[in-house]
Amino acid sequence: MLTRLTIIAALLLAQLACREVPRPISSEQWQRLGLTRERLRTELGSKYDKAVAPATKAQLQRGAELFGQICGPCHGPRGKADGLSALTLSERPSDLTDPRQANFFSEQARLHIIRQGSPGTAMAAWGAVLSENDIVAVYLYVRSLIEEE
Amino acid sequence: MKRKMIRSVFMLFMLALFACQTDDAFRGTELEGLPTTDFTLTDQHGQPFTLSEQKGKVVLIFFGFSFCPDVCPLTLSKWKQIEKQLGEQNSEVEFVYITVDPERDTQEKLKTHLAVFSDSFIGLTGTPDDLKTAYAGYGIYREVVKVSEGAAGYLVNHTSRIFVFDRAGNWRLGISNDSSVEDMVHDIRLLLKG
Repeated sequence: MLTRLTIIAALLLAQLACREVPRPISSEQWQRLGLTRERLRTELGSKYDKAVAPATKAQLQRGAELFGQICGPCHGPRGKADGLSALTLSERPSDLTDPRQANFFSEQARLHIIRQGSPGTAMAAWGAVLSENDIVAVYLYVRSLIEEE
Repeated sequence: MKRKMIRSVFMLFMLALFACQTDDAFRGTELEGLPTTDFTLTDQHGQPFTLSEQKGKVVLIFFGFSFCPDVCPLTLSKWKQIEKQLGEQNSEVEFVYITVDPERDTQEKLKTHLAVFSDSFIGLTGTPDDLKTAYAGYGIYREVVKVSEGAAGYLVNHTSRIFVFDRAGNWRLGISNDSSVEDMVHDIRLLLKG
């Protein structure tokens, strides 16, 4: 009985040890995020702290559809930075559900990052592809992921 | 007695199986007799790039675009790891990224996009006719898919295999972008030897 329990425990531990865990954000990356925040405060001015209106059902559906297609491969299907690409990128994509990261930027700043991307990283400037309505829909869906946590 | 015989046959079978997997075998798909289509495009620095002038190096080519959300950044990330694993040998290898979205992937865009991964990756664009030569030569599938309003609201479905050329300039391998970094490094090293 004890042998069986030991084997089961060992297998469970082995599984936990082998699970891919997203890399933590480095201090350099936090520094860069800080610089980004300052730049966005300057760019957005008084709009920086303006709240984004509550989402409609249609916006959340549209946002979910676009998120799955465009954001999920890096940010993960639920925004937890566990997308397939996230495991190989040298700079980890944001965990969109992590409150530290979520609250690091204002809502308008996060919208702006979706629009203009994150220079020096693999985060593209989706403003060149998505309409403003779609950018807002994606943001609202991301916000709903945070609210679910 | 019967059990012993079954066990012996099984072990012989396993030995034979492992014996067949030599380290000299390519892990990608080895191609024979397929013509190498030469092309000339323009790199991210505005310089011409002609495939046939790259002889002496092993060349990897991938067709992608900067707004690609999945296979392209994944492949570029793997290439970055390959470059690191090759060490000094990486100077004998070229990583070439040809855009399937020339309308948006200008030289400047390719430069900033690829710089995120490596300063030594080569990004190519060109005139529609020149790009068509490259696409047709390697059977590249391209399909524009509308995702949002506006003229630029599209993504591009495309072939995502990696094309590998030996030092003599011959098209030698096709590698899936799902392949591991280790397998790709293994095949590149074999080509560097040969």
